[in-house]
Amino acid sequence: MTVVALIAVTVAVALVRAGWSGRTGLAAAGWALAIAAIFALGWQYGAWGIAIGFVVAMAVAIVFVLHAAAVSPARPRRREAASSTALPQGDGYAIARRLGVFVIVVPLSFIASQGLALAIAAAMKGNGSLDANSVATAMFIQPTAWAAIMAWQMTMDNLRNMAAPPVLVALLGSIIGALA
Amino acid sequence: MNETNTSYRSIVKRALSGHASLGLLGGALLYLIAITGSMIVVHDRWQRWEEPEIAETAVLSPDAAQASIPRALELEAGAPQTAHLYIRMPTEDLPRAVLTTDNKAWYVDGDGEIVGREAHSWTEFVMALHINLTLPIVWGMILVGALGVVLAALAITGVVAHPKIFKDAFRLRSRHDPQLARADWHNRLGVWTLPFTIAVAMTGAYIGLSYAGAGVLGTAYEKGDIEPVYATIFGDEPEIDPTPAPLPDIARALEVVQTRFPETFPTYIVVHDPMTRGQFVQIIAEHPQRLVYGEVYSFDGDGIYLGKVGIGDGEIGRQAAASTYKLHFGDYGGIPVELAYILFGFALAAVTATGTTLWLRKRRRKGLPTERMEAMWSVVVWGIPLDLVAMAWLRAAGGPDAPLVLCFWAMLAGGLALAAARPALFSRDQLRPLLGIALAGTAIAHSIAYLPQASGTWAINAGMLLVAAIAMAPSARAFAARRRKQLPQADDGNPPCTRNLSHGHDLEKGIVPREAIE
Repeated sequence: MTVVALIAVTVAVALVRAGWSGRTGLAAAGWALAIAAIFALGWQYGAWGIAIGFVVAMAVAIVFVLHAAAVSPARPRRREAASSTALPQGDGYAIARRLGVFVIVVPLSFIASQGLALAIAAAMKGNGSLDANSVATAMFIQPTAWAAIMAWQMTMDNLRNMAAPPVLVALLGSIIGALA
Repeated sequence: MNETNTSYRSIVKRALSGHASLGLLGGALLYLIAITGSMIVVHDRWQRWEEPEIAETAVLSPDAAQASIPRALELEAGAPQTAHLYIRMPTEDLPRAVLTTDNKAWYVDGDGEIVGREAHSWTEFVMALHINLTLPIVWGMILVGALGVVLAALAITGVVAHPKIFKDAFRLRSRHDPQLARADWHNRLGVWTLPFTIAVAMTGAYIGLSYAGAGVLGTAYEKGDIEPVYATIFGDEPEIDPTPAPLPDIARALEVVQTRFPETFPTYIVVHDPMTRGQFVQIIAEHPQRLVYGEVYSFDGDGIYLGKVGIGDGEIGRQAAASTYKLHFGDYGGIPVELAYILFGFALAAVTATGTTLWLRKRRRKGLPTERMEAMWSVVVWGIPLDLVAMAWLRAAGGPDAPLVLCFWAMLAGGLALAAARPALFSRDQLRPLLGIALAGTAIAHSIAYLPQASGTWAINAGMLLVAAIAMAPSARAFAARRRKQLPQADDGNPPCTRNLSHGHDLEKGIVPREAIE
């Protein structure tokens, strides 16, 4: 069963590759087969099966990518611009802004995500003592929330907007904590 | 519709800008973590490579395991009494048994005899670079965990900033304009290893930041004690009773596991507070086709089975937490998955390297000063692996107690300072072939020096030679191209050495005109 599913994953990626050059039906079939195969692996073997399925899929895709690199036709190259050895000039405002971004993205967002994690652990355990589910959930939620906040902040263009996501998450954590 | 398009393009532009900012914030450290992570997927094999002369054994019987304990403790007479004792069982990757106390670690042969000190300090140093950047363990792991969060955010913003993700899915213009080629390598490798990147980033973040999380939970609910927090996942530590007692019966414990749970594979024997009345034995045994690191079976000092912790079939939170280690290190599918993880890890390193290079070249095209930064980045990309090779030689020459950590950071800092001062000396074209030569030289020297032990080390040396070939390939091509340009061509297409002689004479028959000789 494992071997069949892994062969299906390999064929699926090959179909996606074949469909990339315009035959969208093939690509769609490939994605559908990949999802079905990984689902089957997960059904049979749980997380281990899903992990193995993804590893095979990525490895096959990388082989196709390396093949594309190997057969890529040569093209004329642009002349490289000469570089300067001058030291970069930084003005005080730019440095202060960068520090502000760092403070908002790192410690502020860390605290907000940790608060959310703590609140969710409290809601899960209720009046009982800490258990494996509440502890593990808190430990997974914190880095996940922090990564999501960070990615969200990186799509914003000023410090005030960047501060909004951690504030919102902290607010959410406070509400959950109060209700817990 | 136009407003939607403008808004979407604006998000893409901001995501790209944010992606670049994050990449610059952690680029060098992420690259170091990616390179060392790729290496330590097979850390057991590096251990064999570093100490190839240690006698190996595929099996350690329960009686041999039992016999090894008093022999090891005898060697530690005079040292503080150990609170923990571990026996690492032989595996296919590392067919050696290792007995570790709080003081030292010893290799044990198939008869339970001590055959040498475990002294793979270079392998441990590479692992420490990856796990905690050789910083104090808790703070180092928290920092590396935070970098895992940065990597995950980079992956997300990278996808948002890549509107042609499907259209360009298999396009890699490797022989095009270098900036375009670099962008294609960055995007294609980044996209197709996305599940791997997210998995290792988030599991690494979980593992590293769990100290902070445990501290917060401990402060909130356990009066600042983190042990009860960890006990919810890994099980309780036993009650301490320091009254002296005989050695624990680990042979009996091991036999029970082998008999009652034959589908499992014991990997570690752990003895808490050995030779005290409170001593407690745990055997960690791997379950096939599972991501959890194993089930933990508990025994008292007489080897009586007390039950299992429930790592493999307990609460889902416990199973999930216990699955992060194998998922992160690629230790769940034998050699094929390990090789895949090495490939993906190097791809991640390439994504990190090309990302910063793309930013530097873009800066250069705008006419902004970049030469010093480019030279320093070359030191990061090619100098870090060179530095690791240099530390392997230092370990070989200076023994297991050579100051690898200090020398590594000093060499890296020195290289960066020199690159800033004299950027012309530190280009990719100079450092890359140097790395190739260093890797090839090390692999060949090791193979010659340890020929009798080649069966255990050939794979690592072969891998080094392959990486060396890849590193030297561009220089070899450039050299061949220069040679072709230097050789002048005859009007008739013949090389110059026959040009004057071929006129009117049959050289193939060996007839040379007299005037050519005189």
